[in-house]
Amino acid sequence: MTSLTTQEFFRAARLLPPCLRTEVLNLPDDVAEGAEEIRLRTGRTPSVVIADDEVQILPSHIVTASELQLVLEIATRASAHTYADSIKMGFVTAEGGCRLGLCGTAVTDGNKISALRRLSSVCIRISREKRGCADAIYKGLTDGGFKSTLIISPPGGGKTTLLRELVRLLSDSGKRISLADERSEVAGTFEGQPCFDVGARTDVLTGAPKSEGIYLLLRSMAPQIIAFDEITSPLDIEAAETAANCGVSLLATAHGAGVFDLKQRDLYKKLVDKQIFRRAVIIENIKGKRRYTVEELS
Amino acid sequence: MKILGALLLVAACTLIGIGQAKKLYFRQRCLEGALDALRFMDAELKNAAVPIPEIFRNLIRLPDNKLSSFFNNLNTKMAGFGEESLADIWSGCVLNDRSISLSERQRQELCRVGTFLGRYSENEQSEAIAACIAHLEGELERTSEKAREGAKLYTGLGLTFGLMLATVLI
Repeated sequence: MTSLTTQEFFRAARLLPPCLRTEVLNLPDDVAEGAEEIRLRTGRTPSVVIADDEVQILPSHIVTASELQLVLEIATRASAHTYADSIKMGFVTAEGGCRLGLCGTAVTDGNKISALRRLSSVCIRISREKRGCADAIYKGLTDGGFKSTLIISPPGGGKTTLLRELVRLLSDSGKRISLADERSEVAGTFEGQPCFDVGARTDVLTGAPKSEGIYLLLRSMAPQIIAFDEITSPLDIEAAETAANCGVSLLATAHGAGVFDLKQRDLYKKLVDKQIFRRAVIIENIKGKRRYTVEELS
Repeated sequence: MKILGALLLVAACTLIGIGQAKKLYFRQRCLEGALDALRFMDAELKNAAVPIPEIFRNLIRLPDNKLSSFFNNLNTKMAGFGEESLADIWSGCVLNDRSISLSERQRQELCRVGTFLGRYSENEQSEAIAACIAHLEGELERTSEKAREGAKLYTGLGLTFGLMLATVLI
């Protein structure tokens, strides 16, 4: 019997061209369960990322440019034009919430990237739903009422997975949540339907830039909590501040090693100093196991 | 009795002639159906960037389209997408579906569109569709002309042959 994590690997493997898919589906279960990403580069053998290590798989298979093109075709359901905006930003979210990172030759219009042609690398990020991963910290985060919380970890640390689980738990506990899911990675929305369980009282906005999405959700959905993934620009911080000033709690993520690390960077310093967030969850990866620590910020 | 037999013979031969003429008109209607479908696809792409599988599903609902069985077949084949590329599925249907009456040249022209579908921007796909429309419009004009002339010819031939046969046999 296949486990849930293996199923998620299989779902990601379905995005591969038939010849490669068959070989990847025959990989041992421990690889399938531990894999976080499948990476394809033209002229190289495919590899999977397991706990920060990139392991070469299928040494006899050399990835071709046409295979990468077919991966994109499968992920976009043969509709690259529908995903043109996200392709030029370097990603596509496929069915099941799997995110494809794309790399190739950029076509520019002035200083802006207008399209991505001749793919050279594709990174298929395996989206996982880990029920129960927030159990240890959930009580601490909701004691005395939920306060705005920032999840901090380095890239690939499991921020999105924890965010998704917290959104589900808070939503099912009765909170009305609006999720600004710019890249459809949290809810895995595909053709309007979230593929992951994000709770019964969660409204999901996909595709909109986070800052604009937050304003839209404030106006239209009267949320008690606004959740979003990856604060990356001053505009995101401005929108978060506006939402906090409107009495809405926030649940968001940021790249970093911890609160001290955030304070060292201009972008996040304001976020910490202005006390937009009251709590932080720091994720550490210790020998492949994740450890969550809750810190009070005020 | 002989007169009745002769009349039946003439009627049968005329009907065969009319049947042949109808085949010419059927190709004309197939071309009209293909042009309608291409224009619809172009509008869906340009106005709403609709995903290709959705456009194919919507094409079945085009009223009075002579290509509806082709699009039904295409939608069924789309279940195998992922095993085969869209271009392969499209060209397989265009080249092998004999329920539609198109010449090999017209089929090849439609296949060419398939290599653009879903792979490029709306504008590039639209340009490929426009080129195909222009080609098929020319084909339609020629086919319509042929159908008009051919219909008269085949009906006349059927009638004449029936009369001759009846005269000889009686």
